[in-house]
Amino acid sequence: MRDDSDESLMFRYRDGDVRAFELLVTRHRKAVYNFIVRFVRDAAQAEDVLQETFLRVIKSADAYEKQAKFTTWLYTIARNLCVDAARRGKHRRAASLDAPVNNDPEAPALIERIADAGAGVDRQAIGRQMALRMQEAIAQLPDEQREIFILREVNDLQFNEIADIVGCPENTVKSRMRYALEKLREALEEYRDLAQAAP
Amino acid sequence: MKVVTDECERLLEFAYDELAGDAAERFRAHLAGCAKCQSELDGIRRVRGAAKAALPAIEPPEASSGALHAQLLHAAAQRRPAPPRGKLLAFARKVSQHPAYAAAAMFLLVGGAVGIEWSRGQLFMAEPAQPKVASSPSAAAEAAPIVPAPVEGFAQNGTPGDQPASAQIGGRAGAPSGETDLELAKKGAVEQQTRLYLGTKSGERPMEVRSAPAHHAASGHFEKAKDKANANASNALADDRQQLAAPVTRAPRRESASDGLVGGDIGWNAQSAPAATGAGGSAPSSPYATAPAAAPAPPPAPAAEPAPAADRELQTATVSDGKLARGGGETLKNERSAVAVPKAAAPRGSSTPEALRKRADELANANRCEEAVKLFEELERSYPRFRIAPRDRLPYVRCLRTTGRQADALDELNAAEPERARKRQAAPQKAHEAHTVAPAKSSPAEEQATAKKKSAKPEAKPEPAKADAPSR
Repeated sequence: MRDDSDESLMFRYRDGDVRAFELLVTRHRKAVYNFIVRFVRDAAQAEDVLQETFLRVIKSADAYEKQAKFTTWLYTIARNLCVDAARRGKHRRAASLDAPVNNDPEAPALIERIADAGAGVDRQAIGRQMALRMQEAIAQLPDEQREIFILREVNDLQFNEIADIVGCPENTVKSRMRYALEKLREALEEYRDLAQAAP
Repeated sequence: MKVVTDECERLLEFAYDELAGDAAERFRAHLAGCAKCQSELDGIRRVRGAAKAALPAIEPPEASSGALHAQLLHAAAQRRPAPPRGKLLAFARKVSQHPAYAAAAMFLLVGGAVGIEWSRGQLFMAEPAQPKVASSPSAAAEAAPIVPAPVEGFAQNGTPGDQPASAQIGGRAGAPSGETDLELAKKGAVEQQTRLYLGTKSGERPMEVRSAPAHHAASGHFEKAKDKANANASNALADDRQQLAAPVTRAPRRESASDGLVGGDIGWNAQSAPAATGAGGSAPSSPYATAPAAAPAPPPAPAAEPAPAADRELQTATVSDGKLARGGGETLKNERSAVAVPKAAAPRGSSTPEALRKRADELANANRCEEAVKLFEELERSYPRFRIAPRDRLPYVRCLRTTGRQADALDELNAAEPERARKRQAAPQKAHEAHTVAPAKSSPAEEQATAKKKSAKPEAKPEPAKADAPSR
């Protein structure tokens, strides 16, 4: 069962196999959570949206048909819930990767969880600055560009899948992606020499 | 000047490894000679490298992920797989759950119910207020003969006698004081029709005729029954008047107050003319003309003289002891057809005197004059009040001459001569007026003479209900 595709697992769950659904949750929980937490920029809100996403999958299991990849369907649900959450404006503030995870004062900051054991201290410092600068630049992207950038870079979805998820043509997705890359490249311009100079 | 080729458009796909083998090779070849693409590709790779550092994979919180996982599994286990559904059931479910379909179904149900009730005559819409129109006295007089004894059940809901004549139709039966013959006649017609609906005479309920009045009467709503029956009675009286007008009101050729054949052209309202002229007014030119509220009662009905054979047959068929000798199940339509005297009592299988006349015409045209003369004579005997136009009498005259009855032929010509002369003189418009108003223009002296003549020699048509009227 572990080697089954997402679609076959979903069909099995539609027929009553709860174990298949558990496998689906295990496979996609982390990736979907990363997309959601990058979108809504709040860990607690991201958990709620993640739970609601899988509950929607359960509720819509009877209507599921193999018209697209399961991941496309799953991210479409998650993205719509994120858009709804953003519209409600409850969590409009910009997320900071320096803030403790889950608002726990003892927990490390999100940026500190990036593992780079082989890098030197200077490089770590430069890398941290660059990462902070990159996070700020990503947060300042328009929503339609940010969601495409995250789906492409974080969730590693292809452009045609992203087009299905966001509901726009593939060329539009690529165009938004080019704009997002151009803005991020300009934001990182000042750190380019430091990155090249780092040992 | 920037030169952007199709291969340059593929830079993004190449950077994200979405180009297939051949396309990727072509772009690599293009990339070797395109500095712009090389520069942009370097920038994309730098941003991607920085994004990997800035957007690390985040593990969901362990504390909440366990609970979340358990909740999701519990919810997943709670869901029961839907039973296999066919397309037909899915469509039915979709239809039943759609608000528009549900509204349409409700509309059909309500509309169907209303339509069924309407077709059964059990649903009445509010009728617009109409001016009270009273029928002419002659109509009342014509309707009176078929009036049976009043029904006691209606007497309980009567209206006060000081109301207008049209409102007194539902007045107390058996209380004729203060009621005109028109009121009594209309009341009688209403009650008679209601009795026909209810089948009170035979004690049986005529199911096939049960209409709105019967329904109301059966359910105890006598006021509604009376109102509905009153409306039906008005229509019935108007229909009967039209049916009776032509044959009944046309006086016999020899008995007309005027010059023989002329009297036959008076029109439908000839019988009502004496009543109208007796009131000092002109006869109404339409059967729906409004009669004055204080219109006097028509002259009392004289004793019925022996009616022609055809009429006697009809009387025997319709009236017995002053009441309708008909089962309760007969329809009002049948009742009306029976009232039309000549149609119901034509001899030798002929339906109308007009048919007899046409038959006689055909015989005359076929030079079968003996038979034609016999048929003409039989027609005049059976239908003394049936008027044959002078032009239509010409074949009769010709046959009389052919058969050697020159004197009779001369009499016929002489009798027809005044009318022909009058028609030659009168313009068509005046002739039309003469049809409708001529009787009303007679002087009071002539009216008195006519009344005396009629009282001395009553009309040929007997009116059994008038004979029954004193018993009311």
